[in-house]
Amino acid sequence: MNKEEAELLEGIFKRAEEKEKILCVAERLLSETSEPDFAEFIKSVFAGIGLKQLYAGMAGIIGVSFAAAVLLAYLALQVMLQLGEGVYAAAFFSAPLLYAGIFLLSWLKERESSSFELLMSCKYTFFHVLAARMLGECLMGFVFNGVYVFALAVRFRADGIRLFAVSFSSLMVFSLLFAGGLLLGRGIRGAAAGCALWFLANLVVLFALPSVYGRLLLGLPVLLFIAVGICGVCVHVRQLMSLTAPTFRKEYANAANTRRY
Amino acid sequence: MLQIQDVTKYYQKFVALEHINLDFENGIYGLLAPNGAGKTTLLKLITTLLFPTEGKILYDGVDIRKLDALYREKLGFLPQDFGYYRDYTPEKYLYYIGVLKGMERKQLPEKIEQMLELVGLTEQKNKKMKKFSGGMIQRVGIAQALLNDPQILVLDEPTAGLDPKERMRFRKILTSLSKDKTVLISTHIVSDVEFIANHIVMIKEKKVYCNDTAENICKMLEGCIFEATVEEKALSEWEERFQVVSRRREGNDIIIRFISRGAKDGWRPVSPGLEDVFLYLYKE
Repeated sequence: MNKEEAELLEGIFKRAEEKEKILCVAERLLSETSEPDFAEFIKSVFAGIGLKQLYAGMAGIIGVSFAAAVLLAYLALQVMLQLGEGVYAAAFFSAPLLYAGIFLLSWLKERESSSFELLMSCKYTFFHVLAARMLGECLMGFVFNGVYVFALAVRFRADGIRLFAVSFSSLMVFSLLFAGGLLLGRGIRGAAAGCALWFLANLVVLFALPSVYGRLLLGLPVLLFIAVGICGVCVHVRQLMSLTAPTFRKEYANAANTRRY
Repeated sequence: MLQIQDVTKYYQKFVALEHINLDFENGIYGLLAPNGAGKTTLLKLITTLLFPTEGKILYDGVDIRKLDALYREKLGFLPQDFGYYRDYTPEKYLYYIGVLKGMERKQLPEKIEQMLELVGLTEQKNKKMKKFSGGMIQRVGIAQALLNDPQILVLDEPTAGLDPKERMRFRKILTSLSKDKTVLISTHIVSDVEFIANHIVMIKEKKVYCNDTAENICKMLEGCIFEATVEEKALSEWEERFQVVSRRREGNDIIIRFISRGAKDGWRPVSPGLEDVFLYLYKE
């Protein structure tokens, strides 16, 4: 065998080996239903869909939600001050308002357009859009709350770090309940139940146990609130990834239209 | 190739489809059945909007549930109730759908122009869709389904709301596209698919009743379709005795087209059409 023949043969073996490797990977991938990983999820949100398209035509919804959140936050502050619960209670209670407002209005928009079926046949399905928006709403809520607690800290000479921690943990606990309701209830009713649970629980503590609400928020360690918030972020991202997974889409479709006989 | 392997679908206790086996290759497939026969369910299964209770759907030999987004990237779908955003222009809407279909942003403007030209909406591209007629909205729907140059094109009642000229244009588009694509058209309007579909699939009693060319399906009724001239007062008697598929007035008489297993003098045998078969199969 001369040198040329040997090189040719080696090349053939190398290509065969590469092909074998590709086939093995393909077989492994195809043997299991693909569930998205974190990097894939973030890539689909930011590179795939992109923030511009995610909120295209939603300026009105964001504007209305923002105005409503400002108004309700102001009202909540007045009520908390009247009840003697203090600014921490106002920050805690107001934290999820923007998130809830944008989500519910954008859901109504999708419902009105009857775009569900079409979006479900796209590469990035209705649930990819939904999960991406929920992540975006979390970030918007975070920024909005940041500005709000800064204003409260300045106006009332309150502990800014505690205000921020309280507001952060509140937003994340609400997000968990909201997305959890959506996942468990397999529909908007579940999410609405999660939302209602959060507000009702707050109102019950506020009115059934006067002055406990504010004292708890003032007495518990700041680190605890931050830890709750950070854990909330981790779990919420997992929830959002589950929303885009084929398993949830199947369960949602079955709950909405069908049930196994 | 798309293969439906022994698929059964239940809606709670109601059987929507039972043991469906179909193979789709490149070409146009007309899915014919009356409303409520399970056409839309079958299309929803193919477009991953629903999941089979039993059985599998394979694309190039791989379960579409495992392929997931890879499969949906190759899919174009026009649902029966096509949802759109009223405040969007067609251009903006197609861009949004293009992004969700995973298309490259660079190629989108050019592709959108092509699609709008194809469906005759170039001049209206910057008008809000809330001002559009039903036919124009349907054309936007067709454009979005074709936008990603899909390998599998699924159209549920695509000609609803289109005028005859638009229907003609639409058929031409489909014929030109079908060389290298699998096109599935679900309809209860026989003329939509009779002359353009390579294969006709008919569903009856939740099962595939026939899957063949229109020509072969029509052979089922070869020698059974007749025309006869009858007096108006005798029409109801004829309708009781035979399955009359059409009638037209000529002077004082009425010419009827009907199905009969035997011939009689005065009856003129005519070639069966797909509409005759459709009416014969779904007479009840």
